[in-house]
Amino acid sequence: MKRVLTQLTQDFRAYRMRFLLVIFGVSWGTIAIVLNMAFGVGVMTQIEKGLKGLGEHIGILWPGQTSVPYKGLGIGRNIRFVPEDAELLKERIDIIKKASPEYIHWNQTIKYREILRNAKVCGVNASYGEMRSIDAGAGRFINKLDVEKRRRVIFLGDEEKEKIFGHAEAVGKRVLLNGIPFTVIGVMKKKIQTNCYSGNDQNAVFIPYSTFKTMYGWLYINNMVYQPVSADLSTEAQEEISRVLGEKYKFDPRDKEALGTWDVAEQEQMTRKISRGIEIFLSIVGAMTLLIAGAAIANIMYFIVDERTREIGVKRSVGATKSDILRQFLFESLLLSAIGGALGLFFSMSLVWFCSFIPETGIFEFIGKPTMSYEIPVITVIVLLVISVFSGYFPAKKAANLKPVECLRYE
Amino acid sequence: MSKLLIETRKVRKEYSMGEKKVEAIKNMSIKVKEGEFIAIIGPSGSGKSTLLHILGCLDLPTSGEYLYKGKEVSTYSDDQLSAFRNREIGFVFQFFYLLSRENVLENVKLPLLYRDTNGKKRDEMAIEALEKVGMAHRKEHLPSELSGGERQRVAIARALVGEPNLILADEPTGNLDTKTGEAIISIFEELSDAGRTVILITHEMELAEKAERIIKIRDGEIEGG
Repeated sequence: MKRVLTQLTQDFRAYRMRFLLVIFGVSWGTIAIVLNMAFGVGVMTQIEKGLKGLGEHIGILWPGQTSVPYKGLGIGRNIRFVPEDAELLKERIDIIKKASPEYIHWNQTIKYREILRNAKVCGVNASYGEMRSIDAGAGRFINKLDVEKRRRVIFLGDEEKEKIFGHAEAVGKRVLLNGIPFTVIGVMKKKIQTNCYSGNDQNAVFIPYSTFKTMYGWLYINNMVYQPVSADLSTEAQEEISRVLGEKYKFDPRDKEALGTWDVAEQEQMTRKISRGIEIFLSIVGAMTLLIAGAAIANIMYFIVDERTREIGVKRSVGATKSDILRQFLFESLLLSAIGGALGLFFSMSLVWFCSFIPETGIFEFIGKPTMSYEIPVITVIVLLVISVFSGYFPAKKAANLKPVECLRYE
Repeated sequence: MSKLLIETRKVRKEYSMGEKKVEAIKNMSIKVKEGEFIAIIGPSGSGKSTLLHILGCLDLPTSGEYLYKGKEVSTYSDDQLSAFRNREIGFVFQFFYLLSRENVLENVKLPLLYRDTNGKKRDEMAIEALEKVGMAHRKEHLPSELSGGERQRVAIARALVGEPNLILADEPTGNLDTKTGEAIISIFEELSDAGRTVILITHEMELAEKAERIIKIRDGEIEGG
């Protein structure tokens, strides 16, 4: 070991420029692979967050129009949902534990002191917040009692809150919604939402659906949101819903037009596959860069083997075996790539660490920031090892297979 | 009557130079007894270096037999040949072939690295070998800091350190002035006196005459047996 290190330092002196270039190449390749993977992880995390922003494996239901005749009833009938249908789904379908009706009313005036705003008002139940990843940054979300007692309470999207109250405390304050006083019970915690079906939650305000119904007198809701107990059950849940609602409203469960469904779980899977694909692609690009560095190692090692042909001959003549020679060169190239790899890992990890201080705004809100995961250094080291063993092996093999007598004759 | 160390029977060595085949050694049969001091003399290109390489197992003959202590060496595997060179043979080359980046001591220790000798013992053996050639005082020096004669002494120490039976010297004085050359040859004489078998290749008759026996070769054949 000591001998090989001495050898390496001596070679380093002799071939300084070449060695530096090789180490630079390996570091660069390592940086490329680490940053690409870290970037991939960042994008993936952000996409996950974005998906979660709408809600995890939820489904959204819209009433439609029948397109298939059913039990003597013609086509073109409008289907409409009432708030109680959400309860019906929970009661009748075991794999649905959470469901909420959703009333949506655009451009409703909210007044607080001299400030007047137009906002989207949603009438929902208590489970809506959990399903749609609406967390209270201050106060709380709508609860069961609010719904039961038709309380005039309001929960604000964070951006709407900013516009009405600025930095001031909002919880407990009174606002007028269409001239009717409401108490602010909570403000949404800022979230990343990359998907939506009627505007982002940050710009909406939420009230109990019972209050909404009384206030506006709407019989029919705009849509329903539900969540099966697990993502795998999303298709099954869809079928069950068609069956239950088809029975109630007398439409063919196979009628695609009668019931509009947006199954987020399906989209989640697709998006995850795509982002996984991006991650793999980026890693491959990084690995390719490292491969080029591997070629550089092989190149310099071939050169060194040539330069040391005489030395190989001398060593063979005093008793070095082929494997002694092989080991010497292989170890040297491994050490070379270990130095390059360590430098590369250090630089790229520091860079990722620095990136963690960039605020998550603007473009970073969508693509995320390069993020380290446990796998990244492990994968990098494995790729590095494989490439350096390969690129070191062939020159070393060449050195080992040289005929001693020809080495001694070499000029 | 001392034992036979080396016996070659009709050894031939052929090289291909492009399409042309060159016969470097033709049917060469020689016998060397243990402890002998032999000089092989011949003009350049006569095949004497090729013969030495074959005797030293750096190269294998194209045909013929090479028996060392009665054993055919061509049956050895590559690793066995390495071990054989390590244990039995000490080479001395015309151009010394010291590792330029290692100091004298490291150079002398080299053969011991390829056998199971511990570090301390290696140093002791190397210094002992250096003392035999009068170079122990320069053990820390690099070969580039030594004169030609000194370098050859170091090379001889390297050949001796493993205590081989056979010393093969390929024109060891070819690169040295006459006086230094004589001093080197006298080292070989001493080694021979101490019981080692020495085969010396040279093209200078004057040096060859110091040996107990002279084998003259020309065009790959022994002249006058």
